[in-house]
Amino acid sequence: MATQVIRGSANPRAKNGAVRIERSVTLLYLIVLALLVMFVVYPTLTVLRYPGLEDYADMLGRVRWQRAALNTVVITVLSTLSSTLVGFAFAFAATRRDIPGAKIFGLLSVLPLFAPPFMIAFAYILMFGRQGLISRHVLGLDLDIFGWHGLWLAQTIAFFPLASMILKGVLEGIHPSAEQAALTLGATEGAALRTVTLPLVMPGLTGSMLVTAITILADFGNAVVIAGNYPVLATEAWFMMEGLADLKGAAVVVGLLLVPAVTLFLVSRSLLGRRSYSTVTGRGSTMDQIKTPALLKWSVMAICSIVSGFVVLLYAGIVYAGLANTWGTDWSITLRHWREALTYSDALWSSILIGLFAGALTAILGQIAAFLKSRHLPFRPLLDFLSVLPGALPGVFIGVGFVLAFNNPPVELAGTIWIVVLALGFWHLPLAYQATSSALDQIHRSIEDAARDLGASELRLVSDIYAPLLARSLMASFLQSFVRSVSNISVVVFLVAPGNVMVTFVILQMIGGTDWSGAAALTTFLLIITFLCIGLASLLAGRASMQSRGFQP
Amino acid sequence: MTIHAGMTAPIAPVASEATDAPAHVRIVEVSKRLGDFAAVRNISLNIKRGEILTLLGPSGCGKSTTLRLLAGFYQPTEGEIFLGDTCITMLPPNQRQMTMVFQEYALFPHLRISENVGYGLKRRRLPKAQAEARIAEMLELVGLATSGEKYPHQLSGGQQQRVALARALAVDPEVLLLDEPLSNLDARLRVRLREEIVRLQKVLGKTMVFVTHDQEEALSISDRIAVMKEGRIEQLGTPDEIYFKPRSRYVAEFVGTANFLPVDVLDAGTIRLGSMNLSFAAGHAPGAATLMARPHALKLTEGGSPAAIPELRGEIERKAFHGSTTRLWAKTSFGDVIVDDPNSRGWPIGAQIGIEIDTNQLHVLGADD
Repeated sequence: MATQVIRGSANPRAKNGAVRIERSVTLLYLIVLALLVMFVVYPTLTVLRYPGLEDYADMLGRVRWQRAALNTVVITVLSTLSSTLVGFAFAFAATRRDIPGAKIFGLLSVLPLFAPPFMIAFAYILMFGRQGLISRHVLGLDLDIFGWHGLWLAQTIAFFPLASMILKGVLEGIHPSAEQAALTLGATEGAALRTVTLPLVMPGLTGSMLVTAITILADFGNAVVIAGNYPVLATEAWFMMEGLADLKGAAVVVGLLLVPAVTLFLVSRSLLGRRSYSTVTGRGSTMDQIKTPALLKWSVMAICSIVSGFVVLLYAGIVYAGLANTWGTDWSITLRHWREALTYSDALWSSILIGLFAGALTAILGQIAAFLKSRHLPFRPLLDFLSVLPGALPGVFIGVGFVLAFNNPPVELAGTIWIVVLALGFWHLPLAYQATSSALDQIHRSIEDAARDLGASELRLVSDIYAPLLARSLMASFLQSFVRSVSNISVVVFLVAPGNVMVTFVILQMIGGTDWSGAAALTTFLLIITFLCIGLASLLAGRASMQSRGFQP
Repeated sequence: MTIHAGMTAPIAPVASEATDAPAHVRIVEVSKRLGDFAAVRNISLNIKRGEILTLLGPSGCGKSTTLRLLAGFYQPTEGEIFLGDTCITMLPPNQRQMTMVFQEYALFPHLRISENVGYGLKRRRLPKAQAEARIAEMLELVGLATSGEKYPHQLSGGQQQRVALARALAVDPEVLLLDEPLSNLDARLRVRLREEIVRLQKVLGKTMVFVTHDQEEALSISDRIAVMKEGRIEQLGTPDEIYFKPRSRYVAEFVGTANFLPVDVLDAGTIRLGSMNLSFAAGHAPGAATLMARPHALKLTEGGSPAAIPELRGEIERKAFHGSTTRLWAKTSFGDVIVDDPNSRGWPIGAQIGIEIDTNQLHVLGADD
């Protein structure tokens, strides 16, 4: 009898087979739900409710807005297609044994991921604009790159890595024996790729296009720098608020942007969530891959080489612009701009502070939410939806949302660093939530059962089992959110106040005031911070994987 | 010995030379290096028309590489491969008339079952009506006539592998290559499907090359088996030869459990085991050699039995019930000896026993092994 009593206390399932939920977990769940409602749902609804119906009607009637909406659609479609094409080329090169340069292409294809969102456009101007190092001083051309074509190119470079990352996963999931089977049945290499590989990639390709489209739709950084006289919705919201102090107008614009963003988001989720063709029975050896047809091979290599060269040029341009005496006239090297940039130590400090807090908020909340999702709790789909929803919201929407929601009592945060911390922390939540969720899925249920069997309570599981096993994803989420927060511009421009000026905002003003050297020097600082974080992350990841390797048989 | 009566009959001299029929596929002095690793070392092998030839061995022995060389996924570093009289060494896989069945099925997940089976026909531009008839015929053949409209994920593993078979056979290949096709299936299904493969082979008369690491599978389906070791063919022969007359200890152990006992070959008709002379034609020059005896070639008797070999008297240490037989481990002065007792008569552990040997099932290995 005694043993039965003990066993009963540790068993999560009550007599009737229903799962018993511990009070502490319920409490935690309620807190998390309350936070999500407060900082995700409430700002969203505030934005949508703020303008009256007549405001919507009025705005929709204006020619400039119609143009901005149309431009947004056009540039989103163009950039999505080109990013996907380039991204596919890189993913293909990375996963084919017989295409050389996989390492170097792989490295260069992730570089733009770490660039602050406005950097690609800015660097493009530095290298190829009117005073561009390449266009003017090397080639002697007089190029005007402002406008839709400049934005198109900048977005393609900035966002192809996203497509490439997704597509690489898709391509790796295809077992080489499917292609081999096609070959033994008489297909040529080209036919095998066309009739087998391509259809297998299709669902992933569609999904990746939707995800890329969401990002491009919401792109503020590149548009604000290079779009010039080509209004798009993301920048229009800011111009409304900055220039005209028209909060209602801004709310209408971001509300308008929300419709396609959420639609794409929902479609991509249902597409990617559906059964995909990949991951049949683990990965085969790349030794088993069929030969890549020559024409395809050389086209892919050509695309990768050209784009890689471009990426290198853009990065070099930023670093050099921060070091050159006067861009356009005096190319000698000086540390003058770096010293001047250091006088913005206040902004640098607030950036780092905000990044640290926002990163911690994202990582911890994401981990807790992912843990709760894995429990048998009521309304789990709601928790899941609210935790991924911020991923669908454009940065400018979050910015306007927090301004409208937290400018007045009862929660008045305007002008503090906290409004920025909360906005960025919650906006990046899906990063941590999804990373942790998939890490959780890798932990076999039996590990938890073993701990429970030995008497661990549900919360005890977190500290004893999940926290140590998930430490790596926690750290990764933190660093990712930190880097993104430090280099964010789309949210920050709406929340900036004398008490919380961040480096990115200073840079944006410098670009506007054509203080390119200063902007480049500060951007270089941002890059240094970013790459230090990445170095730290990979160091940790390396050590963690060494540890986990020790556990393997 | 009733259970193994069939096996104890004198082994007929089965023709394992390829001289009586022209070879369908000839592998001539083929080697293959994969990076620094010599995966296949100077293999020569004639595969006869209409036979099931199995490449058997542990992982890394070169059996899959050999199959891939046949399929055309690899080109040999040295040597030639012929199909009939045609040299196909450098021919790409899609022109070889050899189709393959993969361990992981490799069905096209985006195509219906009928489209999967019809894939090769489409590549050969077969007219639609003919293709459809052929697809129906193939699905009928593997017992999936009603599943043509389904997708692979709607079928069980065993059904998927049948589809893979139908797909590979639909194009009427010269040779069917099977790369561990049953390894992903559970034990019961594995036996059913391998019987089916043998049946199909009898119906269609296809030449098949089968790769496996499962000796039971190899013994039960093959006309001939090539046991491979470190990139070489260690022994080529019928399942009987491989099982009862292994060339080496490696082959003997790979295809089943065996006891190895030290013997002296005295003359052409006598060997000496311990202190007892047995009349047995070892086929070896006089001198020290190793006797191989399968557990069912040994028979347990009372410890004092005069027929028992004195050095093999001992005590039962351990036993395991196998259903139709019981396996017993006896400690003797020649070390542990394993005996399969068909009667499951229940010798208790600790019993003092003697061991008799059925000389019909003995085999003597060379002294070097």
